[in-house]
Amino acid sequence: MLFNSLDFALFIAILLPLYYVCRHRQQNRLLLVASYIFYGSWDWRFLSLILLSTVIDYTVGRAIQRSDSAARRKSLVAVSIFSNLSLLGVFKYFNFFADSFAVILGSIGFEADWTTLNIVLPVGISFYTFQTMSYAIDVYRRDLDAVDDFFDFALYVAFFPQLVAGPIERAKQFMPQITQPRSPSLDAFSRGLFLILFGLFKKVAIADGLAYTVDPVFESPEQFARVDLLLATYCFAFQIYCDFSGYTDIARGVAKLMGFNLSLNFNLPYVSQNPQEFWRRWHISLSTWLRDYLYIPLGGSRGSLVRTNINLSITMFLGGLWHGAAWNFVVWGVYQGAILAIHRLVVGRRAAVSHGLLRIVWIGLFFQVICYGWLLFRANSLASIVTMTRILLFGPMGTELLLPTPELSVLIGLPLLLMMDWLQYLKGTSHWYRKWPEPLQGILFALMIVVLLMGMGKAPAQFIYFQF
Amino acid sequence: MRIIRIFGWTLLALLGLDLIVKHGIGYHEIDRRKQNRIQRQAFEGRPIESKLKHYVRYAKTVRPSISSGWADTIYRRGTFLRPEIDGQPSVTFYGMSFSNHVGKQFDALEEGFNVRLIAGPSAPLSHSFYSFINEPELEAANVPVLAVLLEGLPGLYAVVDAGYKFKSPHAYLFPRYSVDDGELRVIEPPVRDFASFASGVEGSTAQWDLYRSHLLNHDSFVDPFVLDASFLDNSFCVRLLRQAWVRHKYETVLEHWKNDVDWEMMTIANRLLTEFHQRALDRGQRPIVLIVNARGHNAAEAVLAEHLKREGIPFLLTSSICPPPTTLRLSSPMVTSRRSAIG
Repeated sequence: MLFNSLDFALFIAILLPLYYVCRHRQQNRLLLVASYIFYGSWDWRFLSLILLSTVIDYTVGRAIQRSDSAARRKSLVAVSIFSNLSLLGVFKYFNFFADSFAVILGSIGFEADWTTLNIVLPVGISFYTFQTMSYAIDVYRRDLDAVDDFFDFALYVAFFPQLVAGPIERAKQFMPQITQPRSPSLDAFSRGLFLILFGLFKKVAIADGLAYTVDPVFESPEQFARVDLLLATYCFAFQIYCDFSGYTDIARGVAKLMGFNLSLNFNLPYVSQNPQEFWRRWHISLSTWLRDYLYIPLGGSRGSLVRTNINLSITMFLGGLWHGAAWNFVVWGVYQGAILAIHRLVVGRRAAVSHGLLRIVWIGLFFQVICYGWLLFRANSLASIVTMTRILLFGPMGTELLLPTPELSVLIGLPLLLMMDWLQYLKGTSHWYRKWPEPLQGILFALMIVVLLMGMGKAPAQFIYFQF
Repeated sequence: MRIIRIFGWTLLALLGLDLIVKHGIGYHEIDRRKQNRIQRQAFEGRPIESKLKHYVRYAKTVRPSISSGWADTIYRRGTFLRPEIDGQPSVTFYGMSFSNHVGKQFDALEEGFNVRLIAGPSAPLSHSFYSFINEPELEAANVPVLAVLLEGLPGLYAVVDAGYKFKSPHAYLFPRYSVDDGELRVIEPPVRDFASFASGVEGSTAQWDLYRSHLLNHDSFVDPFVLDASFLDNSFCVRLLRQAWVRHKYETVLEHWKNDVDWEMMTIANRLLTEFHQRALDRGQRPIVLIVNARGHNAAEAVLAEHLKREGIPFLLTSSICPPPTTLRLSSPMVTSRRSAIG
């Protein structure tokens, strides 16, 4: 059940009235059932995995809370980490490692004669395993009390707006919203509606429309010239931004309709001047998760510069692997680690340039660095990365553009989005439009609706981050 | 209340945008080649009725192919590529423009055959099969070649291509086949020639009603919102909404997908191919199936090829000569080239 489908609209249309007439506890139970229906609509068998993860972490959390023995607490948290990583390992990485190992053995003359398992990647497994793991670790660190009510905890794990592609919510912020009565205001409702519209606009009108331009180029890069590749990479930068941040906006909007506040996951990532700033603006819930549960436990920046850079590289390498079981994601992670390390070596801890023209220049330059990262991320294979890099550096410039012309929804929607993001940047708030006169707001929303309708005539694509 | 006021302003603005598009940009440019992108999108969102009537009215300049593919006239249009030479073996291609190209190439390479082409624009398998079985026996060729355009397979759930190829439809009807309890059943087209259809469009209510009700009753991709013209079509937003609805409907109809293949559709397709083979053999012909995979519908191709091999039916895959550049699912045929996600 995709957010951009009629099925989801019907699902919400049935759920919301029921939700509003229920009392707090009933609301939580209703949301839990709805979340399981939502998740089961992909494949009901996946429900067993999420239930398993829920039961393990609930039990582990309670046991850690009750225990005063440091060794026992440590072994319990290890059980949580081991079980969650095992789920990920089996369902997400087994075939990847088995295939890679077979290739390595083959290269040294041994023929590995095994068949990889036909394992289907359960939707959103990377998100909810990270979420439940962080819960167990927080309880272990005594940052959080274990949750008493199993069903409340189950809702925390399975809350449908953010279940399959985040944001990765921390129990510390989210559990109080479950356990305390919620009172969705009309104001929050209207903000929620705007977020849903904005998210759909980004996803359907822009991201899906850009796929028509981007896909053929990445499918057969050798058939295109340098300018095509460059433009396709820029287009992909906006495609993935609109796809993922669009999903998050819809998730946040739907949650707001029910009185929940999900954390901000994107904050104008392409106005970053350096990799540090980028990771503070892009997929914020993942980067803070990696920081708190991986980078800092590894030693963070407390050691020498070399040690810090090693920690950074390990963190980003694993962050890359988290995105998918393929070598290009690993390369992307290594690339991100490398640019973070280089930035730290060159610039140190100095603050980013904050004034006028120079800032714009830095933003423009760093955008090129981000885009090369997206090329690594999107490429179909390592060979494709080599081909595309070669064409970008030495390939023919091309006399005419070969890549497909973007859809009309993109041609109108992308400038509109850039204008809206620019206004958000200037005003420093995502609610900039609320100070506009009401007729002007009406025009803005109408424009977004028309462009959205233009995009809806095309076959929808799955959200890119669902596969992670 | 603020939210209601803003909602009202939004509706007003939508109305304003509608007026701007209608009067500022305009819908009614006749020639598609002269339309800008907004005009084209507006045109494509018109209901089937409006588009077909428009095509009939401007058939000569806009849509010459509107008169092609009709059941009762197809044999007259089926042409020999050169004057028939007595005594030479004959080959007839039943299909669409792709099979016509193959036929022409074959004719250029092999001079010792009388080659005949019988085609409908982008015709689905049901149309080609129907053309084959209804051909007068006198004209039957030694070698019938039945072409299957993979992207046209959804036509097996339709009686006209206007629903599943909504943006750029044709008017000719083709039969709808189904397999019930192992029996091949058919719903035949009630309007069989362009003249009858055109009379319906130009004022014969009975003819139009016959055509309309046939579409509504037997075409899975057509419903009144998709088919019927109304006052609301003046709205650009309604036209956009219709395109979105058509897309949704398409996906709803093709809901039997498993491993990239709609098995119900494939069951019908396989059955038609077997019937074609059997009937041709009964007539003393040497049948060949031509699978046209132009856009990378590889999963569907694999299913058909496996069936043909199993049944011992001679076949040729265009992909074995000219592999398609991309891989597509039939569930997204309106897409020219895309991947649904990374990796």
